[in-house]
Amino acid sequence: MSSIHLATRAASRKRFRLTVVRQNSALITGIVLLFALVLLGAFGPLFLPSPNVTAPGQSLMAPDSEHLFGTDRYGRDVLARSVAAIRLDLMLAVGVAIMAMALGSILGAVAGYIGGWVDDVVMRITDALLAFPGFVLALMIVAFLGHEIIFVAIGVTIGSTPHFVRLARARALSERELDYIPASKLAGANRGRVIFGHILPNAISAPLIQTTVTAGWAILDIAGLSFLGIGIQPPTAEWGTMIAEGYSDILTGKWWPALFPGLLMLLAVLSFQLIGDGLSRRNSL
Amino acid sequence: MSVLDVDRLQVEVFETGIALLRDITLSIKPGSIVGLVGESGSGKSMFSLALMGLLPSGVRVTSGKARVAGKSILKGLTNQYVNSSREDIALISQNPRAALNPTMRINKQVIRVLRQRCNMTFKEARSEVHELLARVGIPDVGRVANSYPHQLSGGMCQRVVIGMALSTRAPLLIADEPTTGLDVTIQAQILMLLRKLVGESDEKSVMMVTHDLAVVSSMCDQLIVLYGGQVMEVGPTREVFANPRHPYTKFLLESLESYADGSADSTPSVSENPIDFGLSGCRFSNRCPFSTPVCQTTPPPAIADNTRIAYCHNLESI
Amino acid sequence: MNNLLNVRDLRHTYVKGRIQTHAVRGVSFEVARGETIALVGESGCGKSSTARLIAGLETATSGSVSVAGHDIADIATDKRLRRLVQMVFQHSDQALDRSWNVERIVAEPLLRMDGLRLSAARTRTVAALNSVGLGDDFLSRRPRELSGGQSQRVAIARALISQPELVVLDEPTASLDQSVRTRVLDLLKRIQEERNVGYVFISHDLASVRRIADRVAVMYLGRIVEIGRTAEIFANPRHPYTQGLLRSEPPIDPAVKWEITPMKGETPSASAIPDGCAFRGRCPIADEACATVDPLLLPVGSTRQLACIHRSVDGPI
Repeated sequence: MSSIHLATRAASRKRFRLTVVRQNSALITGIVLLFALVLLGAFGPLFLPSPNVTAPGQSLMAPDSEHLFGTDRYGRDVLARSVAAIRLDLMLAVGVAIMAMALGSILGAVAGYIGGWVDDVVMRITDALLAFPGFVLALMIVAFLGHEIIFVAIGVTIGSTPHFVRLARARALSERELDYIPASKLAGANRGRVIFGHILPNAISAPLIQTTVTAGWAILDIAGLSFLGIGIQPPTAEWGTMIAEGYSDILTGKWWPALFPGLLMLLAVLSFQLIGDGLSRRNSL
Repeated sequence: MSVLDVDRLQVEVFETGIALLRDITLSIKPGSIVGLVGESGSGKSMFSLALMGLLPSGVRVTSGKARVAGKSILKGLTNQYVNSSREDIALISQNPRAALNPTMRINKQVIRVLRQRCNMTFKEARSEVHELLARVGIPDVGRVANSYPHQLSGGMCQRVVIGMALSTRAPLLIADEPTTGLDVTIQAQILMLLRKLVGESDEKSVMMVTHDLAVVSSMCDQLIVLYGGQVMEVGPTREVFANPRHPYTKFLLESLESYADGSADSTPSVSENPIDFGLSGCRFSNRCPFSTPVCQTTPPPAIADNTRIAYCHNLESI
Repeated sequence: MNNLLNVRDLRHTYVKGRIQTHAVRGVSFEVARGETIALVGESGCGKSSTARLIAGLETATSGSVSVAGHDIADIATDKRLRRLVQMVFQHSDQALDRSWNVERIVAEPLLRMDGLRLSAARTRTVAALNSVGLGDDFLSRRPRELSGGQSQRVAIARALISQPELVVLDEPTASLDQSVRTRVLDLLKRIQEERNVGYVFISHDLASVRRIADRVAVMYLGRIVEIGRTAEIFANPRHPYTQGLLRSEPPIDPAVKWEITPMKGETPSASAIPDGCAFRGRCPIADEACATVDPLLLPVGSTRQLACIHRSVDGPI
């Protein structure tokens, strides 16, 4: 069957582009959306007022041509703040996802390959962590460590790592049985070489895909922590803090300070989910 | 009337339009054992899956006809499999353990098949079980009947599967690599059994799908050689072995013979290129030492000669 | 002790829970430089376990393996000795790391044993590829771009690049198409003539054994039951198991009517080996004596050894 596979692959390369578009509108949409957000986050602030300038006379003004998203209770421009938050939130979320992926995959590959007590220890800890929802875990860690951005990042990273450990370990267990592992032992490779040179590169595809989905969740976790007041603190422009500051105004009919950052956050999460979904579908084809 | 009649059957990967099987035409007479031979990637398994209506998702029959005992088993615009062929075809698969239900004792599974396929009552079926198992040479019938598949060896499971397949009224038996996973002494047992049981009935036919030419030569009356999803040569086994016409068949037999008697391989000009399913011409043309430009572009014509057919542009010049 | 490989009373038992599987039960043989010995038998006969023990991938329960005078335990742990024994595996598609390219795969022993960098190993890598009939256009290819025969050639190139003295070939042609087998076997033979390496060739395929092996050891349930020169064994098998095995191969000439009485029964489990002769349950000539005596592998004539109480003593060869 492998030669069918081979030939199919070779001949389908020509149609690759077309197929990707047709089969993977989710992936394309996700990428376009994320790219637009990144552009907006990178260049938007150049054309917008500073996110932290208050104007006491202009508080809670409804969206109009001057303030497209209106202003909050301190008279700050909601658009400028929402856009400024893109940088912080995206960078933090992507960083967290990558850290969790790296940490989790290495732990999983080592545990799966070496087995024995190493596996037992790693997996018991992972299971224990998995018993809590990632968000609750992050919440406990941040509450314990403090309200710095770095601690928020650490908390969310630890909360997201267990999934990666499981994914990488499952793959490492099946890779371990393939003949290229003894072959590389015979070639003189030691354990470290086998794990980092062979097991990890072959076990990494599933965790890589999971990374994008995790980045989406990380945005929600970071914003959630900030919303509860134990994550990123005001006046830093961040979607969670902005929603926290704005949600009480909804009761008085002033919906814009909370809605627009929420919408941007939704788009960001959606783009990561679409990419993750598209990638995993392509991977399984 | 033929047991199996296949006319220009085409199977494609839906998404890319790559033909995994191209223009397959063949027929199988009642009471014969026909060998469908090919190396990996030849499409031999794909062909039996197509007949069983078990093609993997994304792969479809796009044109052609297939009839078992005169009844079409492909129907409608999409040429999707219709249920009736389950009655007409019995399968002996490469992995007998997977063919049996792992959660059910053997006797229960046999009773089930007998009731569904042979319209027996429960009582009739139950009294038939031991006889059926004994017929396929199972020594310790009582123990085997009460076992789960995982408690039996691969050879034992294959005997059970053969027994069930032969008990149905299906005129066509597809044996897809029936002995590939088995040891050579067990293979001999199974092949002898299969030949004896098929010899006893003159209506049933067997299509042996295999890569093993030795199995074909000792079991089959007729031979169909596949390569890259395309029929290369069809004919009576003895004649094909004695005098292969197609370059691929020649190559295959020469490599088998030189392999067995230890002499040097006399066909070094055949390359090891992988099969190219993108070729519009003969699928063997990227390896064939006699390949001409027309081979690359045009599918080869069927050149018939009495009982034999070869698909090649250059038969005269070889 | 001029032999390249000495295997002495090798035993290996896998323990899983309460079940003990006796995979190898006292195997002894030797291989000279430039010689090929084939270990033949059906599944469960212990040939693959023996191969892994000889290659040093597992440690035997008891017994010894030595290659060129060095104990296998030293070879397995010492980088300078590791090159002595290499192995080619059964599943060519699994034996190559699919995320590496051919150059790195073939050069891996040089990178690890000699600490060379990929660029420094280039000349030797190309030479190794050439020696198995592949050009340097294969260097950048990935395993998925190779056919079965090509991947097995790459695996052979990797096994040979460190200049081993013994190569264990674990069913190297079993996953290949018939038409490619011959070529891979001939390639192995040619390499042996050029470099004088010794081969331990594991196979269940008698035709390939006949083609490549100088001597054959027939194994059954973890023991060698008959060992001798290939031609002699094929022409005149003495052990009832060897006879049954040879008879079970279907002939390739359709004009010959294949009519045999197949060997009865199946190989018992290696965790419940019968007393006396392990083969007696399937043996056509077994009697009461076979149930009590565990036959030893004894010399019959000058080149053959046999483990059967009925065939070892009486009758000419």
